[in-house]
This record gives sequence, C-alpha cells and structure tokens, in this order.
Amino acid sequence: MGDSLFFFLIILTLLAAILRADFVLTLLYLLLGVYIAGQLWSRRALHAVQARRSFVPRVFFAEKVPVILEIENKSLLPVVWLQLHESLPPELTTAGLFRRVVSLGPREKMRFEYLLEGRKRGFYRIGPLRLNSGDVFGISEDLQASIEADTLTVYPRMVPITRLGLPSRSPQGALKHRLPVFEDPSRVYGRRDYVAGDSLRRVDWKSTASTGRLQVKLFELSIALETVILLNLNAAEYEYRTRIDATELGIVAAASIASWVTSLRQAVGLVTNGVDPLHENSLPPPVPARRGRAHLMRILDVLARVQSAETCPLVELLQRQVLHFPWGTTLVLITPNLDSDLFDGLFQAQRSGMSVVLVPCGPVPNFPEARRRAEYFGFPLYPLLSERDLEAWRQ
Amino acid sequence: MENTDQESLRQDYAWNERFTVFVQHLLICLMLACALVSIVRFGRFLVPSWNGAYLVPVIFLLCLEAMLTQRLVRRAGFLSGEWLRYRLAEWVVLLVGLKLVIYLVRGFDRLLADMAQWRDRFVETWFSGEYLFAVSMAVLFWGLARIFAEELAQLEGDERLLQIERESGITTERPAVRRSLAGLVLLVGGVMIFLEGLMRLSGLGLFPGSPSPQGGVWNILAFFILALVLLALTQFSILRVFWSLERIPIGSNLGSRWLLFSALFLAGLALLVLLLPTQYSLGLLDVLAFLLGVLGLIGGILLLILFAPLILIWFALSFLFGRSPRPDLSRLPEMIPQPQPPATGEGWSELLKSILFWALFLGVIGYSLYHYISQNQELLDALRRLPLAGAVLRFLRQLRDLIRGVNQSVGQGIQAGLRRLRARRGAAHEAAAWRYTSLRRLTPRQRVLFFYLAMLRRGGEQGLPRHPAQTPYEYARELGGQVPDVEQEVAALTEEFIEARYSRHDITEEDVGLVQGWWQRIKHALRGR
Repeated sequence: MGDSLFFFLIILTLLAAILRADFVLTLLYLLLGVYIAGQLWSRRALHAVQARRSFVPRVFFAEKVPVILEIENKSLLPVVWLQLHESLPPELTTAGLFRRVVSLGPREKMRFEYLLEGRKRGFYRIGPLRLNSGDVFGISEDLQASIEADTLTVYPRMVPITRLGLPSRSPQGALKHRLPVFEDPSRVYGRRDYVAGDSLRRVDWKSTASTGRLQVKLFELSIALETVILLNLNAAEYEYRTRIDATELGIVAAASIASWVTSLRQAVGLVTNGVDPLHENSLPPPVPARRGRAHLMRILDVLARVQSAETCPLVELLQRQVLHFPWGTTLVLITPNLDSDLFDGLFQAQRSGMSVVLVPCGPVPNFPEARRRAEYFGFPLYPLLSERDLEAWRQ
Repeated sequence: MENTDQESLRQDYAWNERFTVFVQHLLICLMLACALVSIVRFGRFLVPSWNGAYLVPVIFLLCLEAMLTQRLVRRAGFLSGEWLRYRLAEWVVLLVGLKLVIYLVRGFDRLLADMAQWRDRFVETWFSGEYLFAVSMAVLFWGLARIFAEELAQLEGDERLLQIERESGITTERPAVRRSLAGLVLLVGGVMIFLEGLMRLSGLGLFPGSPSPQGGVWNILAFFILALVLLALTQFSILRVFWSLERIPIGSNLGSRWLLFSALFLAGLALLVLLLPTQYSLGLLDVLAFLLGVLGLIGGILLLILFAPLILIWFALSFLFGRSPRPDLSRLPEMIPQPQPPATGEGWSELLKSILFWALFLGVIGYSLYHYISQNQELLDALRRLPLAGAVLRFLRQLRDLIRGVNQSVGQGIQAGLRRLRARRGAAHEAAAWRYTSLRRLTPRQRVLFFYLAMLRRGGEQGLPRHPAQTPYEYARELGGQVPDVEQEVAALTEEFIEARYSRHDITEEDVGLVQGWWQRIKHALRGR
C-alpha cells in the first residue's frame, strides 16, 4: 500500500512539472500529508496511552480475584484502534489470555474487568499487557508498546486443625514437668499452703491474710515455646512418581500447622530448602519464629512461592540452622526421608534442648524402621500419605 | 454465560461487517460519480454546447444498482442460464431507463417528436449520439462498479465465511486484494488528473479553439478524499477479519469510529492543504519541466540512433515516389506573444513566500523519502550495492562522523569548562547541576555509573546515606534491608555498577535498559517510604 502511494506521488510530481498545474500540487500535499501525518498520528497517540492494572496481590486458595484494567488516552488525538493482549497464567484462568480491540477518543478512559481464580498456590505474573496500534490507512507497520507484569500470590490451602494429638498450648508437652523454669508469673491458676523451700516471692499475701495460713501462688508451667517448621523440598529425597503430590501435601501441612500455631498465639517460624522465585540463586532466607497474623502472612508468602528442586539435603540445613534456634524450640519436620543421618541430627538437637515432631509426607522408604527409631528417641510421628490424613487433624 | 459472550461477540462483528460493507459501497459510488464529473467536464470542454451534468446522479444510482445486483447474483454461476436471464432483463430496464432520463432532461417535446419517427427511423432516432455516449458511460461505470464490488467482496468476512476459512485453513489473501483495490483507485484518479491536465494544456495550443477550463477541481480532491476513506475502511476490514479469526472481541462502535476519525482527519488535512501555497514555486516546476525535457531529449536522440536505418530507407523511398508539397508558411497563424503578468506585491514578500514553499515542499518530500527508505530495508540494501550509491553513502557517513566528531569535541570542551566552573561552586549547586546531566551524551558505561550514583543520592535523601567506609555490596545489603520490595533490584544494580566501574567487560545498551528499569523501581520504592 505504501509502495503504490509512493510511486503515485512520484507520478504526481512529474505531472505537476509537465502540466504546471496548481491542483496537482494540492493533491500532492494531500497524499504526502496522509503519508506523513498518518504515521505521526498513530505514533503520538500510542505514546499517550496509559494502562493501569489493579487487583489484590495476595489471595487465599480458591478465592476469586477481580482484575481491573484501566486504559486511558491522555492525548487529544484519538486512538482509532488499540489491541490489548494480556498474558495470564493458565493455572488461574481457562481463557489463558485477555484480549480486546478498542477505540479511544480524545482523553477517553476505558475500564475492563476479568476474573482470576486461585486454583493453585503459587507466585504468578499477571501480564505483561501488550498494546498494538497502527495508522488507519495501513501505510506503516503496526506499533507496539507494553505495560509491565504484576505479581499475584496465591496462598496454599490450609486445613483448619483442631487437634494434633498434642496439648493445645504446648505441643511439645514432654518438657512440661521436667523443666518448671517455664513457669509464667502472669498466669496464676491456683494456690496452696506454703511448704518449706518455697520462694518468698511466690507468697500470696492477700490469700494468706484471708485464710490465716501462709499461701503460695501456683503458676502455669509452660505457655509459650517457639515452633519452627522445617519443610524438606529437596526433590532428590522424594520418590520420583509421587514428588509433585507429596511436596504439595507437605506445603499444605506446613501452612496448616503454621496457621494453627498462630491461632494459639504461639510463635512460629519456617525453614525450607525449596527454591523461591524471588531468591533464584540461593535458598529462601529462614523466617524466624514470631507471633501474629502478619507474621503468618509472611510464612504463607514463602509457602506460596516455594518450589521443589534439587537443593541441599534437609540434614545439612538442619545442622546449619539448629545453631540459631533458641533453647526449647519445637522443630516440626515435614519430610519424606527419615534416614539414620536425620535421626542423628535430630538427636543432637534434642540434646540441645529442642523438641522434635516428625511429619513424614508421602511414601517413606523403610517406614517401620523409621517409626521404631522415632519411638526410641521419643519423637511424636504424624505420617501423611494423602490429604485425607490431614482431615484426621480436624477431628 | 460463555454462550452469551459468544453471541455478543458475533453480534459486534456482524454489526461492524454490515456497517463497513454499506459505507464502502457508498463511497465507491460517490467516487465513481466524481470520476464522471471529470469526463463531463472534458466533454463540455470539447463540445461547449453539451450539458451532461444529469449523468452524474444517474451514474451514481447505476453504480449502486451494479453493486447491489453483483451481490444478488453472486450465487448464480457466471454465464449460467440464470445469470444471463438476470443480466439481460437488468440491461433492458437500464437502457430504457436511461433513454427516459434523457427525455426527462431534454423535454417531452423531443420524446413526442422522436415517437413520430420511430415507425420509419427507429434505430436513428433511438440510438442518438447523446444516448450512445450515455450508454457507453453507463457500461463503463457499471463495469467499474462491478470490478470494485468484486474486490470488496473478497475483503469481506462474515462469520460463515470465516468459519469455512478456519476449518479449511485456506484464507483469502486480503492484503493483496487491498493493494489491487488501491491500484485501481489510483488508476481512476490518474485518469481524472490526466483529463484535467489535458484541459489545462489548452493554453499551450493543444486544443486550438477550445475554451479554458472553468471551475475548480473539487471533484478530483473529493475523489481522493473519498478514496482515502475507502482505503482506511479496507484496512479496518482486513484487521477485523484477522481479529475475528483470532476470536478477539471488538467494540461494536469500532467501525463507525474508524470512519468518523479517518473522515475528520482527512477533512482537517484537506483544509490545511487548501491553505498551503501552490503558486510560489519560483521556477520549481519549470526546473522539473526542464529536467524532464532534458530526459526527453536524451530519449529522442537514442530513438533517432535506433531508427536511423529506417529513416534513411524512408528518405530513399521518398525520392522514388515523389515528395509531398511543402506547407505554405505564409498561412501559418501568427504567434502572438503572451503578455507577462504584472508583478504584484513587494519583492521581499514574494521571496519569503517562495522560500516557505520550497522549504515545505522539499521538507515534505525529503521526510517521506526518508520514511519510505527506512521502511523498505531491501531497497536500502539494493541502493547500497550500487557502486555510485555506495560511494555517496560512504561520503555521507564520513560527513556525519565528521559532524559528530566536531560536535563531541565541542561538547567535551564545554563539559570540561563546565566541570571546572562547577568545581569552584559549593556543594549547594551540586544537586542543581545533577538535573542537567544529558544521558544521551553519556556512554553506556557512564550511564550505569550515573544510575548507581542516582541511587546513592536518592538513598541519602531518604535518610539512608552510604557511609564512606562502606563497600558497594555492604551498602546494597543495608539499603535492600531497609527497602525489601526492591532488594533484588538494589543488588542487581550494584552488581552492574561493579562490572561497569571495575571491569573492562562491554556494557551494552540492553544492560543500560535493564539498569534503568531497576533504578526506576528503586526510585519508586524509595519515594514510597
């Protein structure tokens, strides 16, 4: 099209010379104007187009996410056609793409909305949005622009745990009687008569005055111990056929336990050897044990992003990290591999004053032997073969 | 829900399709009517007593009819019995109708007079010269309308047709059809210009005795404006089919907006064009005509050399069969010198207008040449292969390098001078000077350093200054810890800075693009603190 017009312009110029006619020059101006101004128009107009995408960047599993796309033409020049092409993760929508062709008048704004569904936990890129336009006469090539992608985090599924077979306030209850140093002076649960050897600080003077006998306060023994979840996502330690399901099950279990511990107002942390897309060249930094919903969200963020990969074995990670855990920390290990090296490491941790809970996920090689060892060391064991086993934690 | 969306999508496409097809056919009929105006003007130029203005609306309606019937008989095979019957009946009606229109224009007295003669001299009275001319125009324009309709039909793409194309995998080459349509439009326009040009040449004595053409050339301008609107709509047709094949939803008002905006654009452009000077060429056209004359002379000499043997033979034969009588030169009309138009206005204003014209004209042509060549890489490559063009390009490149070198030297000199001056100023001026650094003049390596320094400056402004003893990595860790959203970007920018500052690795424009992107995000995050 451009070629025909160009050769016609040459012919017109020659005609203008031969005929010495003004009207040919007028036509020449017109066609040249179309040729030049047409291209300038589309280029200018596309540069003045602005697009904005807005949505809630973090959602829970199975939650629907409305994404609003606002396109605005900031210029007085209209954009005759504008093709929008938004790439979407197939895990969140059946459409795969959001595409529209619109026409924007001067200073016109348009608003589109599409729906995504958090059907799979993960860290997704929404976009980029590609904009295509061109001149109305089809003389020049189409023009392109793009708007950067945003990210959406879908948290893993969480099973509401009501009972994990442990005392609700102290899942590591084995320490309760042996280590009374955990007495909390702010939580008095009763009184008794004074006996020789009781500290004078424990004397309840008001009760003593009312009863006429020396009374001492009884404190709750252990109310808060830090829990750290160690999630093994080293692909080499999983059975090849069940790797995907087992790792996802482990992540669901980790999220559920973290949520449950947080609901009990206990501190919880996370250490994993999976791969985080935000930390491509190294393992995700450990999330230290803290309390509160905000901290739970931070743990869920990591659990949403993290992926199974060939990384360092859990034993190495345990040996490195255990030095940083405070005395009395409860380690909840979610792993498919319970070999002797791991038990050695856990035994060392136990001797350092930590409690250990084992949650083997997926098929565990030589499970009876692992169970025997766990019983020997006194580690509670909660095997998870499928999501149905998680349901048992609800009861 | 999905069915509703599909139905809505189908409706939007159907509406756009119907609208575009209707407007395109209407535009072609109007264009052909404009083309007929040129023929009528030319006819009046040759035979001043003839008035054929009535033909314009008649031909417009005839074109509409041709395009409509072309769609109606599309299903009947070409030259099939049904097709022949339909066309025969159609043309009988058209021929009679045309005759009736002529009688309507010329008066019923003439009809009555002719009717009286039909018994004896039917052929002579029915097929009069005017009627034959009108019929020939009707045939010509009917045929043209039919050709245009065929082209437009190939551009169309309703849902049924596209479904067939989708399933068969065979699609119509619509851009080629569009090019063919554009060629046809330009051909018709070229003929119109040619006819108008012939009339203008009357002043040069080509048509002695004919009057000078009266009136403007609005019909040619209108033809081209309508043609450009048509071409814009054909572009929409092609894109619409593409979008439909890709199942991309389009707005129902897209077609109407396309028409509206292109018509407004062309109307504005036409208004501007009419205001532009066309009479201050100050010999431009004469120069071009002279150049063409030189080319013509060279061509003539070449032809003379080629046909020299034939001329010699003809010369010899003329001796054998006698010579034609010499023309009586005394009867040739006397050449009357044309009076020169009186000079109007001041000399300097004429010169100013002329300069404006030349600047505009050459600027526009130069710009379009640049665009054309830049869009046709093959042409540029072919030009580069030419020995002469290669030398010219080399010369231009050297000239450009020379100018750049001089520019850089001057720029560097100025920069050095400015640096010396700034060094004397206090630190208070440093921030102001920062804003005037021209990124375009910096090398990619310098730009990476610039963005890193910008990060340090912005960090300092936000209460996160870099301690003099801190290494870049230490500062990156500190800054990243304070602004965790862009921790990655800070680390990456620092890495790139280290590479640019302490290595000899090449720093490319892509690297700079990445660094700029990181810096933008860091800046945004720092601003949001």
